[in-house]
Amino acid sequence: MQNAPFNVENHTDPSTSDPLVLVAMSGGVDSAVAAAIVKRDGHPCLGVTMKLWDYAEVGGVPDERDGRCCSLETIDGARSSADILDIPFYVMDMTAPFRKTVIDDFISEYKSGRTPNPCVVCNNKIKWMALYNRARSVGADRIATGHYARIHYEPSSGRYELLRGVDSTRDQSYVLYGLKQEQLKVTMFPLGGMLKTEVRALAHELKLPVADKAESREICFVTDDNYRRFLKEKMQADEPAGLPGPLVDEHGVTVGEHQGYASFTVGQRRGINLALGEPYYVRQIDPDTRTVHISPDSLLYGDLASLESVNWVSIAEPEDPVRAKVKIRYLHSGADATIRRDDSGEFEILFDEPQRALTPGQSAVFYDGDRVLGGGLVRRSTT
Amino acid sequence: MTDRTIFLDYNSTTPLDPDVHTAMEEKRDECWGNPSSVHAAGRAAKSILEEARERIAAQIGCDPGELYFTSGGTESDNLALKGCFFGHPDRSRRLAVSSIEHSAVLGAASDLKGMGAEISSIPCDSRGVITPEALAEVLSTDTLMAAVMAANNETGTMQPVKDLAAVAHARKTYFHTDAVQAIGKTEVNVKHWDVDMLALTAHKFYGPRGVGALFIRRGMSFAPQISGGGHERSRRAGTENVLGAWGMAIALEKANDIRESEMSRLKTLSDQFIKRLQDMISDVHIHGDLSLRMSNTVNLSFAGIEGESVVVSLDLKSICIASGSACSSGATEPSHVILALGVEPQLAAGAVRISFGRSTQQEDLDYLLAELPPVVERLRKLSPSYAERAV
Repeated sequence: MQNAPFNVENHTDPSTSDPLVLVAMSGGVDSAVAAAIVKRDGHPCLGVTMKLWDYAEVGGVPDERDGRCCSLETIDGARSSADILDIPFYVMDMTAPFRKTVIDDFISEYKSGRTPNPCVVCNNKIKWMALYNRARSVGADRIATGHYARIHYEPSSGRYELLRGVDSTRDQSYVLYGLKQEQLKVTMFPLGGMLKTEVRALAHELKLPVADKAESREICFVTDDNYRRFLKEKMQADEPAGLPGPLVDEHGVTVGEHQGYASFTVGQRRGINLALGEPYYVRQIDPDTRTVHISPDSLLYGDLASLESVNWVSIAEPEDPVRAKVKIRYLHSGADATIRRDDSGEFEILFDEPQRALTPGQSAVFYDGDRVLGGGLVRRSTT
Repeated sequence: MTDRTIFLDYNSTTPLDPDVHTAMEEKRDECWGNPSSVHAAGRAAKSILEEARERIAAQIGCDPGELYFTSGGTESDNLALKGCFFGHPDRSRRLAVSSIEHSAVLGAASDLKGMGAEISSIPCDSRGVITPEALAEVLSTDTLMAAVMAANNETGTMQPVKDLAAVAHARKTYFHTDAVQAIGKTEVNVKHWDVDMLALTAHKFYGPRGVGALFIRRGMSFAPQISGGGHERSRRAGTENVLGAWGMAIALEKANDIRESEMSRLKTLSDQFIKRLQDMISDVHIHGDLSLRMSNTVNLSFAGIEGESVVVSLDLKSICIASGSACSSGATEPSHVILALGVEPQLAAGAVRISFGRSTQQEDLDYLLAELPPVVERLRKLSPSYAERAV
């Protein structure tokens, strides 16, 4: 029932001088240490784990399940960390909204021939809203998470800026570009200035049970990291995305057959088992005709990507074109580009140099140094 | 924050009574033998076990030979349903189970359904009562067994067990009652009620955790569900929890000794509490009939808000209450019991249970009444559904 839209106008309870902080605890080492730091800094706090899915729902082979987030074992891990830190701990059942918003979107994106990033969808549409609503319902004013990113309030612009985490190997600002100003205003990232090694060391020092827990950076609800298995189980038998279709080369010639375009991602080589004299890769997926267009590597490069659902973070929505370094996937190092409005009023990115595999469904995130200017979903790309 | 925790969730469990603790300490060194052993140590344990059995049997009006120790309420309920069902392979496979049962009974019934039983649900009325008429309506001419709890754990509503058992017996249907919540709070007597099976557990009446019992009327065919040695007259294998059984006996005697004065004290406290609460906060919906409840239990919803948010907010103020029953916490599904009363799902999702006990004092309720209004006000401000109503 507490699904009020995000609204910080009246979030501050003047009677509370030291506001309560809600720490989102996933069961991993990062969020446990985040909770420890919030507490150490003298804030009263509580820990909350969001249960996003359960095994019965997501399938997978039981023996291949590791204790990843939302499994019972990891909820227990979060609980025992909270216990050691002596903070109250609660589990929040979010399985229904997660299924509707994240899992269903994941499946429908693949059906549309795109390659989704469910973490972005979860952060934008579920996590912050649900955590903040829960926080307010129990009288907490702020939320903290274990993400490696920083928030800086810039008085000159009056904006909350999102910055990369100091540990460049762990930086998670890419999946946070969708956060709104009012969300950043109430958010704390206690690990933003730390290195992962420091986080682990602190976890050991505090004797947190999750100190040596392996980290999982794959999709949490695809328990065996086999998204093709997951999609197959979740899609109807007659779903077009799972039916055979043509593999068409750069000359428009059908050169083979695939067993369902949902198994393909732009730039991928796997699944194209053809003797064509040189390696071929997925260049484009056309769900209407179930066609997977393939080409040699040299034709995968494009310099223009149209965006949708753009969010501006560290700067207000600009009138003029903006120069930035743009990351087109989580592990991309970033490329110089101009972000400008296209004819339809949406934003598009023109890269200085053509980029390999601009993948529809992935997020493009614009950086100025450490600052996240904004980001959006790649809708279409030219190759 | 106060410097102590105010526990108002006595229907979930109770602390071990200090007198019971002392009695258990005193017997500790005498009762550690295995009651099945032939030697002196075994005999000593056996003698304490049988004394405990006699004393508990006396409290509920049965013969000691009709009382079987178990690990607690859930096991007793499972044993009752399954033992009766599999003990009568020649009879019909029909069972009738009330809609407000604890998950121990519902779970056992669901298991049996998977093994060929036909389960009928007995509806309750808007007061939370299973009437004899409702039971009669559900029973077929050959229903094997009916199960209706003696008092509901969530609403506290007491059921007309004697009349229900009579309706069942008129059809030659066995009658089981889960008296886990009722015992120690109201008079429980298997002869007076004329039931065939009755479940109880010690930790609900200030006894130790992990020990309970099932009364099974003498002469009833019954199939054991745990196999092994010949313990408990071959109906429940496993070395008996002698010290636990002893603690249970002492706890039950004490609970019954002070029952009337204690329940009358709690009735005064809770009647005042409800009245003050309704004066302070608008739109409070009480679930279950107030005149038929065990006077320690209050179940209510604050219109427009989720029960879980109230529970967490009060927990942060060191006050323990429950939403739904303790076993289903963590899930946000509305309670099946509150839904069975005919309460609309949104209001049912707001249900919280406040249950008083021996250490509950006026000052605890004063503190709760001071903390509750701002919590409800805050949550209602955040609730779009309530904001719309208020306009």
